[in-house]
Amino acid sequence: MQLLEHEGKALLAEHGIKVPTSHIARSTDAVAAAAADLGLPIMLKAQVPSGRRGKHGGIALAKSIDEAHLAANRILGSRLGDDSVAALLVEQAVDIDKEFYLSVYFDRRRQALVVIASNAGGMEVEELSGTDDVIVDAISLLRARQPHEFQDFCRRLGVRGPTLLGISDVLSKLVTLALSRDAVLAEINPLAVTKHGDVIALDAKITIDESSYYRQSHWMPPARDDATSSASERAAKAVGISYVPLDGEVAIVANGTGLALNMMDLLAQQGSSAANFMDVGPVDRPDKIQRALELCLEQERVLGLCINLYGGATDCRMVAEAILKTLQSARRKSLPRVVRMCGHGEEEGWALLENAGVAVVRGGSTEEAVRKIIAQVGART
Amino acid sequence: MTILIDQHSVVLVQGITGRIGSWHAKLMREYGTNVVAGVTPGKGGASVADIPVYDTVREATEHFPINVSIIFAPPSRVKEAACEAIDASIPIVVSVTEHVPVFDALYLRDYARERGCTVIGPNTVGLISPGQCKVGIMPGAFYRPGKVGLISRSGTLTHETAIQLSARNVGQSTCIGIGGDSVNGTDYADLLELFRRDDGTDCVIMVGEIGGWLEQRAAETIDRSKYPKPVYAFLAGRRAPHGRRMGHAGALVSDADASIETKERLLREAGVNVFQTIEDLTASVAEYMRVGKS
Repeated sequence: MQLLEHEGKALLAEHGIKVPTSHIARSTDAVAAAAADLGLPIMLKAQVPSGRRGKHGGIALAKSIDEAHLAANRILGSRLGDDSVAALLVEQAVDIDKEFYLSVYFDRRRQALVVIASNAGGMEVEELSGTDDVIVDAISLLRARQPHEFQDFCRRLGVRGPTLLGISDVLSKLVTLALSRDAVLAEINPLAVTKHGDVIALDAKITIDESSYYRQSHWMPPARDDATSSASERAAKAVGISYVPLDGEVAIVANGTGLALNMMDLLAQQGSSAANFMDVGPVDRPDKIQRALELCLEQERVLGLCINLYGGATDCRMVAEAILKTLQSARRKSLPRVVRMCGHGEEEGWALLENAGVAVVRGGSTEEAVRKIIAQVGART
Repeated sequence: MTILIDQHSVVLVQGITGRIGSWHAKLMREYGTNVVAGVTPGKGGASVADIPVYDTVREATEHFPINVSIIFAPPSRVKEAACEAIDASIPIVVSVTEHVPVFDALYLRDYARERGCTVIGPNTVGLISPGQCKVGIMPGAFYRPGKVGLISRSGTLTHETAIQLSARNVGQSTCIGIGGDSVNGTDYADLLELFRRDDGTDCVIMVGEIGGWLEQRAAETIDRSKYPKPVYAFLAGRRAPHGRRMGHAGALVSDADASIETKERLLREAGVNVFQTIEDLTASVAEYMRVGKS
């Protein structure tokens, strides 16, 4: 889950990293009150997950109350990317002398936790990639790093004295934050050094590992309705089904991510297309199959249904019964469907389905199942 | 011959008294795996299908010369259970559980490497040396003994490949699921090295997918070592919907996730035989095993 900027900054502050004094404002009146309290000039920043807020007008500097009003009116309620702006973070503007980039990040390529720093902070990070201005180091999870190790790392930025101590201290705290909060990304861009020598985080981008919610949810903000996922997707997730609706014509049900991906590829290769991605995971209950099929049949334009399951812990007979039960009560009874199943109880499962007139691929291959459903759909159209 | 596990492996099941642990302990035993003991803290003295249960891993190793452990535990307990097995000097630890927190998996990976232990997973179906030993949850009937090695990130595609090989009368030496998560205790490169040294493996199949960097690392290893056995690869997910970018830092440290086409190109350049379907891949492997081995 990606935290909003103000949520990330609250976390930074809890870990002893300085952030600008601020208020959250959800109306222009609240912005005015915030400005009166903080004094001018102030920054107004849209609180949305989408990146590049600056480029799309989501960030404004206001040197007067009028400017603050205008900016608030413009930004609040406007659309940035997939999101609508419901809140502004109103902050005291900071007298910036230098800007740096710092982050702690789970790097999938190295399969390691890395720290990254650059003295070209404030820029779009993509522009920095591969330049000499970026320093990177891997952090072992097995033992804690000492302050002097962070200082020797940050020295490579070309800073010294109090600035060196300030920046390496922030980095050390950021690592502690990442590990204690399961943040697979904790990025400060820019980290500003003021003319007085204060080190302040002007932005915060923090992403929490979803797998860690069981131990982090006590402090996390409630799950937001992700603008990019539908009610169906969220309902599916709630019962342990990974489901993404797509544009195609054949609905698929598989009990494995690789299997589902393979089906999507094969459908496309043979001139058809998947109506969805679906990994139902372990089929430990009949109602999971029911739910899976209901999701598939929801989409009107679906021309066929292909079910592909391996019976490991799953019993193929139980699955066959669940499939028949759902199809019998479903609206689209004549929809072409092919079921491929193998594993425990396969003989009984196949027999049950065949006796009910469902096309079955007895073991065989996924390629065979896909060819069969395409042929059935083709024969219909 | 095989790599990592064979008929002499002595296997421990951690989490054996849970619903899933007990189910699979029995299935492994039925397959012929030498499951000698189980561990569930607090359930010492119990037994599951005549398999004795102990409170701790070390206690179990005092009674049996255990050299493999498979862990069935909820995500919150996997790191602790695996470290316990590593501390008890068990050289191979298999973690089946999905959704282990990233930092737990990373810790585990580093902890194991420091102590010379092999971790398979997390989020894996396990591994099987057909006809000899199964340490995992795959239906044994899909697999048959032979001389093809198989390494896969996807559990279901491990089954798919094995079924299609078996249908062509091509058996497998050892099949390993390296797990579907973003952290892998063991990857293709590690296992390719073991297969290289195994006289009982004539060629190796890699099954991969979108995301991460494992296939690229494998390509580097194969190229650098001038790998002496044929390698075949199939990658799934070229039609997958795009996931979200990992913040800005992802652009700095790694390129955005490479496409399937890029992974395939790197593998081909390293001399790997890359196929667009498992059907085509297994047909080619069958052909090689039939005529092409000289």
